[in-house]
Amino acid sequence: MTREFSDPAMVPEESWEDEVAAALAGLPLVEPPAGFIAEAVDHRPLFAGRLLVGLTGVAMLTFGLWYVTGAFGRPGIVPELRTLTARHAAAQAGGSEGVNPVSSSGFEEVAPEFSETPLRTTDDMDLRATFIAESDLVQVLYAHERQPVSIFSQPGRVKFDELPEGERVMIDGVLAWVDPDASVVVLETADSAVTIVGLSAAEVADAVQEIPHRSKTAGFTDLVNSITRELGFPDLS
Amino acid sequence: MTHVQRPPAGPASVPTWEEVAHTHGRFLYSLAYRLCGNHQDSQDLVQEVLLRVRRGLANYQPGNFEGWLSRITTNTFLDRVRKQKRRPTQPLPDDPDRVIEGSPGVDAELAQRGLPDDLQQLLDDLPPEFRVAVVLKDVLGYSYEEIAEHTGAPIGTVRSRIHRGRGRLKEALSV
Repeated sequence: MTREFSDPAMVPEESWEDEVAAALAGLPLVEPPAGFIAEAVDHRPLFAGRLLVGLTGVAMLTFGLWYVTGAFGRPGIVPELRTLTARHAAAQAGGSEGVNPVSSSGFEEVAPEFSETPLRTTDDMDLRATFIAESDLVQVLYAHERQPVSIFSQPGRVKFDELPEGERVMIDGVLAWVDPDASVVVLETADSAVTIVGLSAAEVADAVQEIPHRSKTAGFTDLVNSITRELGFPDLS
Repeated sequence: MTHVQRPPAGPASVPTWEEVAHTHGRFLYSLAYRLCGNHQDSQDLVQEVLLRVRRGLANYQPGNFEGWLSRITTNTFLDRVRKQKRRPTQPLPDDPDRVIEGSPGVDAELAQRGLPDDLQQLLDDLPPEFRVAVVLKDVLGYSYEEIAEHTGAPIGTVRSRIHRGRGRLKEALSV
């Protein structure tokens, strides 16, 4: 039996289609894995959250080595967010005046303490082989697909009270400042101030909501391990 | 009768995203699986859908909640396909109105092939746009008009995709 449609553009339904449709209609409900929904509801970090946690892990692993090599007793600083944002823009454009890009192979000579920087995170963030080392400011540029993200590190402790208006959150036990409008996140890892630039406002906002707040109870190495374990990096202990 | 039931009509007030996850999570997951064909991609898709649901709840106007969820899921799926290019998109045939010759015993053929995994595999082989249209129509039971509204495609295009999608399934089953 053929079913006709009033719309002349519609292809009439053929009788054999009913059989296929009936077979498809009989497909059973596919149950999610046990606990999947509960975990999703239980503020399990979604993609944006995982992305931020992943970047934090990269920052912790990378700049933690700097900490180990002796970045103690650094003064309190306020990252110059406007300057860092401009550097991020310049780096993603391929470099500009005042920026000193270094290939990954030559990076070890410039900043050997960062030689462990992973080339790819489990969030598919690729290291774009653009490093900027200038005085005490180091920049690592990653990219997720076409979305570039810069991680800056400066020795010192963040003066959170002097940062512009934003939101303070804990990311896996690390105090962070987030400005969703400007796509900037400032972290304090050990004695380094880490600024992440390039996450979209929505991703930052989602990450803020998704990442569970935790108290900082572990030592630095344990903290690094707890984060990098999610990324599949080797244990530092 | 489909086993992948559309969820009941949404409540008059806007639920929280946690309520959405609890109430509609199984529906979302099953729909995601029919579109993705594997559990890993289904989990990723549902997580992304829940993220979009949470973003969108603030602006959601109470109405056809199930339609809204299905639209988010299918659009998110198509966005992921286009963005990640996990599967090559097959071009639409040049003869959109080609009618597949009928043959008897599709149900019998399906029964012999060990449903439902084989049928899911055949679904997976459909181009994403065809798959979305067929799943919405035959698995969830939406009307052509509703699918056209969901996907933003003209109703004639929707009908054509379903017709050709079913035809490919039947062809594969008849080999």
